[in-house]
Amino acid sequence: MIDKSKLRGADIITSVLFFLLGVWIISGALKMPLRESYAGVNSVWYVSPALLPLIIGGAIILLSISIFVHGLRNGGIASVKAMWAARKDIKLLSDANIRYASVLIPLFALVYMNLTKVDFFLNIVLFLSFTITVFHLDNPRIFRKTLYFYTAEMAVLLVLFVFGIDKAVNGIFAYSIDILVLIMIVALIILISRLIKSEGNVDYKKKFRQAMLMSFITPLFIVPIFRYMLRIPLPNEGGIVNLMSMIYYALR
Amino acid sequence: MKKILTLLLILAIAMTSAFAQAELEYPARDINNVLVWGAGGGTDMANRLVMAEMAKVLGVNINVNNVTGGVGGSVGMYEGYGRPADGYTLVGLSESVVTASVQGGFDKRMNVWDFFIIGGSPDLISVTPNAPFKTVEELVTAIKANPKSIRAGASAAGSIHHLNLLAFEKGIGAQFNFIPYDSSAASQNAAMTGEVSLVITSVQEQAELIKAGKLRPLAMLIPNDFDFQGTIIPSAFTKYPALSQYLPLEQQIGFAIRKDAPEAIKTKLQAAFKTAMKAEAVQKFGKDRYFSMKGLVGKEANDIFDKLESVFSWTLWDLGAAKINPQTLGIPR
Amino acid sequence: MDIGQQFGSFFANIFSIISNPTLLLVLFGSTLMGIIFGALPGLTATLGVALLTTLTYSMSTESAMIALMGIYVGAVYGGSYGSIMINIPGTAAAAATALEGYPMALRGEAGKALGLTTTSSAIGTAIGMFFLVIFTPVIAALALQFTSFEFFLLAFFGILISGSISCPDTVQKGWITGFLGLFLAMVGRDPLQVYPRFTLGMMQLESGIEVVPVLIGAFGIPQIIQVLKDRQVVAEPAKLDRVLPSFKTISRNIKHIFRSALIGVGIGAVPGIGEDIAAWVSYGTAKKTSKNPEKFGTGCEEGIIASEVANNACIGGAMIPLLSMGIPGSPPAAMLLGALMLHGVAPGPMLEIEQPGFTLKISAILLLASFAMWVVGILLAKQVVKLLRVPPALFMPVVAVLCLIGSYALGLKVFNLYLMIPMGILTYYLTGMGYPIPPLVIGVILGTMADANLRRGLMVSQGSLAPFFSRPVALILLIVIVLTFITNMGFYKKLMTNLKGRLKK
Repeated sequence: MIDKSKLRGADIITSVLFFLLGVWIISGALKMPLRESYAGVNSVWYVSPALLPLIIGGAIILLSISIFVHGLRNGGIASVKAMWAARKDIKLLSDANIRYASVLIPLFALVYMNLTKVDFFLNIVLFLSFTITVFHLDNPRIFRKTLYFYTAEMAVLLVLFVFGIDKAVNGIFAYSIDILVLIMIVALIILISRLIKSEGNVDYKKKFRQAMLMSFITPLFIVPIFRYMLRIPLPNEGGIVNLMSMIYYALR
Repeated sequence: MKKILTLLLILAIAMTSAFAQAELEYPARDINNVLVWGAGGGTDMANRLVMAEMAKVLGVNINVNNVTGGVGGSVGMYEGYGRPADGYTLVGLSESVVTASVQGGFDKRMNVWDFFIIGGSPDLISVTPNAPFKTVEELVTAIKANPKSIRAGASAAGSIHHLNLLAFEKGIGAQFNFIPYDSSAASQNAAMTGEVSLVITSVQEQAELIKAGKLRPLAMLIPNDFDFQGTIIPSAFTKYPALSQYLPLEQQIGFAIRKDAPEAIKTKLQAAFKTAMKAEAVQKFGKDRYFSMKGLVGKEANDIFDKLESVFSWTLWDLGAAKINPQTLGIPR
Repeated sequence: MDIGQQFGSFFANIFSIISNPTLLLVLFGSTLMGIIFGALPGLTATLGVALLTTLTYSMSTESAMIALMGIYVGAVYGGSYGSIMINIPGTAAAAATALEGYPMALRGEAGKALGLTTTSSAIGTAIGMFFLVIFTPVIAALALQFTSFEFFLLAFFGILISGSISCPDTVQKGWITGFLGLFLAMVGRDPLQVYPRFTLGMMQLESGIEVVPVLIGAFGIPQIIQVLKDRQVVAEPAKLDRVLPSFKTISRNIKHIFRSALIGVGIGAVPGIGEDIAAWVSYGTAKKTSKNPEKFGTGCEEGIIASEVANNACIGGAMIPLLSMGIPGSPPAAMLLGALMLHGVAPGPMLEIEQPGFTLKISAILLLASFAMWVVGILLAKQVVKLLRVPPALFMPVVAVLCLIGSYALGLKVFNLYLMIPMGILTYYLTGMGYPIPPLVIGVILGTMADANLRRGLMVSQGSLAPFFSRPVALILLIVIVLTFITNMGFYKKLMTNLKGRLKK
């Protein structure tokens, strides 16, 4: 939790947002059938689907006002002003923000972009080999460079997917995108190992090996367990998963 | 380090070889059945059973995955329709999916599917044992004398049981006080607690309660009488012939495959399905659960779903509960 | 059958299972599988039973039942691993455990916490079984008193409980996140008239927001961000203390154990609601009735016992309406109903006539499952605690992957993941600003139930509120709610301190 002085300022802001949410809920509820009958159910006010949303919206508005007033009385305005004044001191690429971005960018790239487009196995390797390595090594320089490189790779994929190039290349040669991602993983690994060499820290080598081991072993367990034991179709079954399936069917 | 890179290289080579594999004869790998309703329900059970028998015939596993949600099972239907029409994806469904289109859940009509109908359990009207009605005539007389005086429970608006209730109301020309529930089981539970005095669900769902005397069956909502373990439950049609205009609306549990799948694959599946339907376990299941087993495929099955689509869509539209006019979808009345 | 005969056949059942090595293997294997299932974020007992239903299709009825009950018991218990070790509850049922278990682990007492949950869960399961054998007729009759009004009041009580969960800042913040949760539950087609509410035109939202993405989003993602970004410590590597709780710990808490078991069995027996609500209600009640409620939230044993005894006792409770009326008492029991029918067993009032002794057989399996769970759990706890020595940067990203695949596995919906990430970031900031998150999750779990039953109840009574007062169970619930409400109020607390002060003088 952030400290009390800032908290009241934050309360002012969140309470306004909650107030707006409450208003939106009520305005949405008023558009619902209130008294006319719907779907064969004779409607009266107490049957209306708007009943609870109206109560909820009202309660959120009242509570947000109460939080707002509490914030006002306890130095909220001063705190908001202080925050506004401090905005220039916030650097976009500070170490803390780089750490934050290193959690969020891979998560967003994995869930919103790659999950349905890239082979599931490779997806996990890509995600883990970046995330585990940077956080396990925990060196600011490696952090920064690796994140920039990773983000650039993801940007390339984004362009491919947005313009639908992935479908075109996959049409010419199946698994083209999977192979591209595989190359990206290799590039990432080469970059990190070079960075580690230039740092010259012996401990890093060991940590990197651990990170790599974790990145490859995890999908090696997860994929067979979910795909063949629990029989859950994976979000994207590309090159590697199909290869595993081939082996599985041949062995069975 | 080097090892990892070598490993990745091997993977890359292997992947290209996976791509180069020749098309094998159907079915070369496991088949998936995307089931649009939740696990444990009637559709789920019947599908799991038939899939297990079909798997024996086809020689591969058939995995059943429940993909629920949307309206009228639309999320599961999209999931199934989104996969290639190569015969490796089936969609487990029941009659209620035909409402998805008019409710704005599915942007296609039901004619994109080829259906396989396993069967279904017919609906009936039952009352609680302490209710004063012994026969369907007594019930109708009472409700006509005092409209909306009887609370009738059924699953939520637009479900098969609700539509059966509506059709019954039209056929006898009287209205009940309809109380919607989340599921058939919940509506029967409400009958047990005395919250409603009349329920419409299927024979299968009521069977145990009828046997124990906790529900009194009044009339079947199909044209024929029903032999329930030696007790004959009369058809409501005998006394109220007008019902035949609106009924029967029967449960149709089964599965579907994309219509544009190769004919050879469909033929193979149909043959496997017919064999599975004859299997002892399936027949026993049907008997135990008071199903009328259909085993229909091809045009016969598709015609049944066409009719269901028309009835459900227009009924919902007339009730004002449909988002999309069935006419714009090209659904005949 | 008289009591003596019943007793005999109960033990005959137990003996026939333990004398068969195959069945014993199935029992321990499925229990272990259940524990792993529960421990993984997103994989729930419901999904476990559903997946195993397919796999047990070709087994005999007896071994299938052993496998299914084993995974059910194991999964309900297994959720506590995530709660204690990394503050990410594996299942919603174990969310309350995290409030006490994780602070304990932060003190380096992860082993003690795990031992306590293991023993509590085993005791809870066994008491649930006891109720199943002895009190089925009474409890089944009581469950039939639950009409829409009672369901609504029960949901309302659960929501009210969330107000008593410790709030790091002002009380309004707890209430507002609770209402936010209720709002999220409103999204989708309404359960009575299927009218779409707040769906923003998205087809995926029509069926509403599921609990799993909210749970993992609200507990998992913020924890992952905090540990990685803010270098927050996960938990102290455990001191080498004993895992097995002493007999004194148990005897000291005997009161809590019995109250929690009663709550668990009761909530389990009420159709449609299950382990998650049992755990919350029991935790809330333990705090309300405790002499020193300020201890709660700092890692106290009563809290863990309350939630873990209740969620496992719920299993026995849920079997009561399932076997006696064919009405499942909890979501996993609904899966179990399907599995039973696939094996040609039709639960319902006729079960004991058509298949005499079946309830006893299930009870015997339940008792054995609780024993297997206890043995596996105690052995596992010692090993699992060692995992805390692994640096968090190595395993937190793996936990993130497990959260993702776990939430996806339930219904194969990528959309749930799309929902989960924003949910996680939102709760990360809300937590940072002193908003408690448990009320939000409780709101999502109970929202639909409150909504549908309030409106249905009024529909049945034609708008009259009289049934709230005229129905006995409703009246009792109402009184409990009013009492809870009053004791929450500021003026009441002032009054009490005043009174106490005066008495002391």
